[in-house]
Amino acid sequence: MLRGYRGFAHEFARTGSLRALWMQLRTGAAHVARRALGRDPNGDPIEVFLRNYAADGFRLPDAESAALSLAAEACLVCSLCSAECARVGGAPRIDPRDAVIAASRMAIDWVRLELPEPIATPCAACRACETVCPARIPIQRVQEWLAAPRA
Amino acid sequence: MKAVVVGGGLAGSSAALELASRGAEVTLVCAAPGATALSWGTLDVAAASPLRRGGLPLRDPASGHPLAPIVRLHAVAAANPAHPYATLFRERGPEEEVKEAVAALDAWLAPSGLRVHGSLAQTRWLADVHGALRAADLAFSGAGEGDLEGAEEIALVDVPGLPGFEVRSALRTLAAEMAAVGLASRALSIVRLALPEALRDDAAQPARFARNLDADAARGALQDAVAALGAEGRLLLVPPVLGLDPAAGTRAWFEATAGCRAAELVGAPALSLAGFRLDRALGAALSRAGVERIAGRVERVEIEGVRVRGVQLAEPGPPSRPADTAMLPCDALVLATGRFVGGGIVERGGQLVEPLLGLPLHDLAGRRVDSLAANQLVRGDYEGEQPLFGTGVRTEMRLRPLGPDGLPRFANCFAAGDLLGSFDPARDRTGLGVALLSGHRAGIEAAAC
Repeated sequence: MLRGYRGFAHEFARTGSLRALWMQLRTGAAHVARRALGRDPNGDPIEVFLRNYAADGFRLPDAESAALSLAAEACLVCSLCSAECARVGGAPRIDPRDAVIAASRMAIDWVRLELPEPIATPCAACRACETVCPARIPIQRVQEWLAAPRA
Repeated sequence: MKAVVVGGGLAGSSAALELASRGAEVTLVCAAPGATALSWGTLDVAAASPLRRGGLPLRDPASGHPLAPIVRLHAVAAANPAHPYATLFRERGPEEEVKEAVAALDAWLAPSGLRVHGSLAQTRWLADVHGALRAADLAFSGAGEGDLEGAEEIALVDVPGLPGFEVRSALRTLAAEMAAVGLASRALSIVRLALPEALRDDAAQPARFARNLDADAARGALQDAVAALGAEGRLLLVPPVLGLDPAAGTRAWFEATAGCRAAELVGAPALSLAGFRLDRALGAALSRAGVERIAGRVERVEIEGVRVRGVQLAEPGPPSRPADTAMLPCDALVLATGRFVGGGIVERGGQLVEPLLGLPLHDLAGRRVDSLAANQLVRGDYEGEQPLFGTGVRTEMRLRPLGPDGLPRFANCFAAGDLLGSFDPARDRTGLGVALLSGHRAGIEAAAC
């Protein structure tokens, strides 16, 4: 249990973010409470999670985002998409491989998280990257998704 | 005759090119790049990793002399009678078979600027990006020029900002491994490529960096920095980012500018462009040979008795081939669908299956495994033998896959590449060797059927 405390102290020292510190403390406290009391009795754990964290901006993504994130998790990190993108002279704001990795990181265990704001600008949409992907990830849709304006 | 090849890696491409050279009308169906596009720059018909467990012996146990790759090739075929090499070499010796296949591959790739270096007569000592030594035989342009033998001094080139390449760690490993195999009497050092401002950000994206090196602008900016790396008798080993297009001759430019030998280190996933270059060069060779390529998946194979009649595509073909004719008739079919990366073997409902024809699967020991799950064929020993990794179909001498009764299932269906079982490329160090030799042979056999 002490290792958890060292974790958020370290995070605070690194980022200096009070909000991060508060969230870490709260998570740690919830963890301790759950360990002490057994499982949360108040229903479906996903709903409990979302209720607890709604105030912090966490919510489930729409079906398309969730599907993209799931598809992106098949990435082998082989970088063939980057090579093909460079070969055809594409110059996206985010390298296709990095875009796919970013999309696949939008998942924490069983909860998929929505992006708070666009993190890219659209690429030229030539889809050359998709022709060489061994995992057949819809890379261009991932790029579009990362660039889409958020509600 | 009409032939269909399923799978566009080295095995499928070799089969298609060989068929086309023998006058067949060839269609190659390929869903996505497979393991060939992820290869590291060596061809490795019978390489050895001297300091790794398993695999082929490097030295003659009696005399202690290093074994020539051709001897190791004989050894691997003799040690395992079910190995694809043993099947391939039953009629003709490996010398002829390898020579012919390698000459064909070299001719197919040469117009794209990619050559096959080396021979089976002599071991070539190559280093990879982690500094590990490989006793290689054949390798493609890039890494292929990097034989440590003959270099008075070896310098690893550090490219600042390039991810995935830890030059000091590589140097330590290389020094230790060279000492262990008796290559120690050479000076080893690190030299740093001083990147001009304009190229500094690019190094974070190896593919973009490599593409820039193919063009004159970046070469001009790097001229002095590269020239400063050279020294008499030195071999410069550069991370595998010397160009995206082999025809641009970026390695040769680097060598000429530095004024001493220069080659790429054997690659690693996410950093190596060697597999990408090979994949593109094979694609160009297929186009030159007039092979029709269709991006898509085969859903079903049409069978009539003991003959394959054609294949049905899962997705509609290109506009030139309307969806209602997505059935491709053929007189011969070559399956080069790969193993796990390519989807030649999949796990369905907790059982391993060959999805197109339901062919029986065998593991390394020859056991039928197509009613087992993948995790039942994995052992805890990391470097030990893994039955799963040798799983695939078995064939007779002409590479026709065997049915459950041990006889060829179809008269005009051939298998090549990783789909063939009974060998584990990681432990045999056969690299792309089985893919090339079996693809080449399957092309010859399919053209004759």
